[in-house]
Amino acid sequence: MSSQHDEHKDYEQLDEAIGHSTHKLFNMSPNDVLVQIALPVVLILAIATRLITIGQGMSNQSQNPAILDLWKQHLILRVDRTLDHWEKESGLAQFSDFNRVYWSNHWPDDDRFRQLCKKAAELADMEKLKETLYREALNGALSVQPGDANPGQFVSLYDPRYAAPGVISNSVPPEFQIDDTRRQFAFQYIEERCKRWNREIEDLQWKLVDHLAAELPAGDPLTDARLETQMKKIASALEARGYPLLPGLTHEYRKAP
Amino acid sequence: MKYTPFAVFGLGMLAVFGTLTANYGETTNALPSQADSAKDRAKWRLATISAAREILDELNHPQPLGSDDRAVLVDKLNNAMQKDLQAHASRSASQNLCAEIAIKMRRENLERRFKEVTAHANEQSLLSVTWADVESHLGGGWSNTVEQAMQSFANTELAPLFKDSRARAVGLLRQELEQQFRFPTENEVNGMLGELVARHSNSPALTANDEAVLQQQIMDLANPEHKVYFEELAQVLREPTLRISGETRKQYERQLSLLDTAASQRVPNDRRQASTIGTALVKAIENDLEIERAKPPITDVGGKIIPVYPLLAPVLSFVPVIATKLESERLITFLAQCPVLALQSDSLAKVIRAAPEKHHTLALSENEFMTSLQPDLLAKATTAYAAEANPVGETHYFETLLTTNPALTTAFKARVSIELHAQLPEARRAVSEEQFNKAFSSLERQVVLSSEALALLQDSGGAALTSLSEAAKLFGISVRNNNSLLEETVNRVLTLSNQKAREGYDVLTSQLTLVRKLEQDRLAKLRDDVAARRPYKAIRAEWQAALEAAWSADSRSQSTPYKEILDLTLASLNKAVRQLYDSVQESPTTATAATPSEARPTTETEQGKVKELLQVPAKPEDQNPEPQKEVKPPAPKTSDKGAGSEGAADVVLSRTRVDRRNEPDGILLLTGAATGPATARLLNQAGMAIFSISFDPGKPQEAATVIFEAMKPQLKTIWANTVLEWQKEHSGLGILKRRTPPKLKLFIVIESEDVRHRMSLLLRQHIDELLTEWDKAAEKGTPAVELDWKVGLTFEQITQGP
Repeated sequence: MSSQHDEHKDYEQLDEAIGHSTHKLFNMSPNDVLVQIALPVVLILAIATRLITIGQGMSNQSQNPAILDLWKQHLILRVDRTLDHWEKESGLAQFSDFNRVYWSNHWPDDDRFRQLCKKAAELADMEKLKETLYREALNGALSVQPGDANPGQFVSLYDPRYAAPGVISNSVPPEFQIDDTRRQFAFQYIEERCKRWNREIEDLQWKLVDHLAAELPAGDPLTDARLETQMKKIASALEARGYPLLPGLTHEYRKAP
Repeated sequence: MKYTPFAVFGLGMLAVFGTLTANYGETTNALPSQADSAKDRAKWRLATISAAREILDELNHPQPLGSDDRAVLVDKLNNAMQKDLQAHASRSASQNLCAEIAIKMRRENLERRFKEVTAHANEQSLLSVTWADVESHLGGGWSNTVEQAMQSFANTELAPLFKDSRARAVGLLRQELEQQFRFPTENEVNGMLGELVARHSNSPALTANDEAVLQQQIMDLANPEHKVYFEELAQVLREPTLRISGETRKQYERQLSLLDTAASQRVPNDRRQASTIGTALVKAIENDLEIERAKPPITDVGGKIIPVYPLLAPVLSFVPVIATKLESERLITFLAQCPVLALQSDSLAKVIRAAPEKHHTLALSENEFMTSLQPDLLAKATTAYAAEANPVGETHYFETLLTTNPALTTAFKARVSIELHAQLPEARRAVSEEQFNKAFSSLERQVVLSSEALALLQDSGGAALTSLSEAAKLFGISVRNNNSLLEETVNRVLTLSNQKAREGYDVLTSQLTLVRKLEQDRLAKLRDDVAARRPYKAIRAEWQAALEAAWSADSRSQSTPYKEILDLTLASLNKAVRQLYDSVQESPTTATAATPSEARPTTETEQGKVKELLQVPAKPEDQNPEPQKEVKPPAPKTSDKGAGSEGAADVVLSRTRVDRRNEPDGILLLTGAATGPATARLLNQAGMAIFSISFDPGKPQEAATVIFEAMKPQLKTIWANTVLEWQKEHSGLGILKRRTPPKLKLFIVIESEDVRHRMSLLLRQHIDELLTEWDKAAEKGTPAVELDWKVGLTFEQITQGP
């Protein structure tokens, strides 16, 4: 027992000595703890999290496309060409910025924009446009364009519903025949593009309307207390000048409020 | 500061969460914000401009007010009018105020509408549409458009709005007011009318001004707080006011009429005292009113029952006035007719005989009788009057009434005076007759005046007798006590005396005329008699016989008691014959030059003239009347000057020479016969005539001018001499003398009776003006010459004798 007592006593002496020592082992204040420990730890955690997030994003982007089926590759190739052609024909690409539209006084005076608006009128009946574009993609001249480096790259695709006259399905291997599922894929692909066009053109036309309305005095004949009527007047005036508006605009106020 | 480890950990976790959140925002494909959306912007724009268009449309083409809006506006305007009646009293002012209110409301409605339109636009746009956005599209003239809209509203909507609102407000107020109008109570009527009648106690009748006050009082009953009402209600207020005040006045006047009727017809004749008369009047009126109150009630146009007021206090207060008036009238009527006031001439004559000295004249007699008879007659009258009264009145009451009431006193005295005027002359005539018969009856017989009496008459020129003493002296009547004679007696005596005196004087005058005629007729015979050395006595006897014969012839044609030649006439005849005889005897050659008729009056009239001239200068003309002693005129001159007027001038000159200071610078004699033109002669201090000029005394203006023009050169000389003399006196040592102004003295002797006093005044005025003119032109240092102007009249001495 005495040894234990002595040992305990030694510890007490040691503690006492430590307690009265001028050199303490842990003498930081809470503020020092916050500045010297907590904040660096938080910063480190934040930086690490950010780095992890960026890494995840990069990994997502760098994923290699899935290897598509051949019919799909050909179908997309044909459709893209058709859609690009329509887009080029409409001149949409020239109006990435609305400020490129030419104006004469308060009215637009731009043939390119006039062409775009006329072309965009096809978007009014998007089902028809989709069918037209699909048909063109399958059978149109755009499928094989002169100057293509490798015309043979375009294999024949056969859709019994939209087959050109005289085309025999037996000549097309089954993997290049378009069934309903594949056709739906194609239509969906086209529709996405058309919707984008529609959205972009509508945006341009809304800007056009905004620009025009901003210049109209309140008493102008084009203004009206009823929005629907006012929109009709503006649309008519623009159409008369060669700028037909998309239904998204003309029918905007026909909706239930 | 100590942070626990938990806190440190918490902060660290927050920082991590924040970082994660920030990273998520950057990494997700967020849609463009609504504000950036072209569609949203365009829709915002379209909604804004559409709202602006809607506002413009509403402003430019305002819709007529709907029935609901109109009703609200009419209500609001009506409430505004009811709330402030005073401000809306005038229709035009109210219209202006209502216009302000309506336009304000219209503006508020517009603003509310703008907000609604803006809110609607805001609903149509995802982007917020504010009023500022809408307003920015309305353009710069937007406020003008609003004002034009307000003006358009005012022009088209305001008038009918105001008309409807006003009509409703007026109608409501009219109903309220009509309920408030009422007929005043009896006490109120008494108060109103009492106040009005008290203003003019003389008459209970209401004047136009009273009517206005009464109407105001009726109005105050309906409008005690004196609210101001719409002007359209003036007629509304006036109509019941007039109706009620008219009815009130009508009843008041009806009661007054009843009072008059009762006073004239319904008070028994034997009611004599005011108290009994008043009681009868009140009873009569109350009976009449009771009958009217018993009739079925009548309603007026306004549907209110017209009250029948009992006897009103103002009418009652007037009853004593009427009663007193009636009392007086009845007593006056009685006084005018009562037999006890009748007088008898015999009794009056008896009183006069008892003390005639108190009744010398009719006026004295009347006064005496009025004083002496009044107490007795008063007592008789009041006793008789009181006896007829019912109930029998006190005599003392009516005596007091008669003595204190001026009208009654006057009526009483008038009755007595009438009686006196009727009876007193007869009484006085009787007494006068008695007095005359007693003392002066001899005058009624033929009277021949004595020589002394005739001499007195001659001396007075036959002047009328004016007093009883003169008559007594002339006729030798003995009058013991003049005061006891009545005026009528004295007048009768004087009338008779003058009649007799005139008779004697006329006889004397006639006989003296005959003497003068004899002088003329018998002058040639006298020369012959003197030449024949006939004795004087024989001549005189012959002349007297001729006179007696002539008078005998004349007197036969007259009924005169004077049949003989008077002693005075004989004396005059003797004198004339003697003088003629002597003159013919002394100078038979010159006797013809001086006729007796020329010589005779010289001595007498000249004395009279001079006496008059010295004693009685014309008062209006004499500015310095100095009391002059009566001096005995010098002996008459009948020598070289001849004319009597020049003799008068001599006397004046000799008189003034005595008093050097009064020596005149000139004497102007104005003479002339009654038939011919008059003559003006200016004499100098030596008595020499400087000029002589004829003038027409009948034309004083022209005569004064003629004489003035003739005198002017002489006056200039006299004026210059006067000034020169004054300057000499005040030169050298004379400078020490008192500087009295120089005087130019002119004496005017007027001998002709035809010369008018006005001519003298005009002449003096001309001379005064001339002297003033000369004085102005005179050298400095010389004071103005004063005109000392004296006028003497002599013709009275000629016509009336000394």
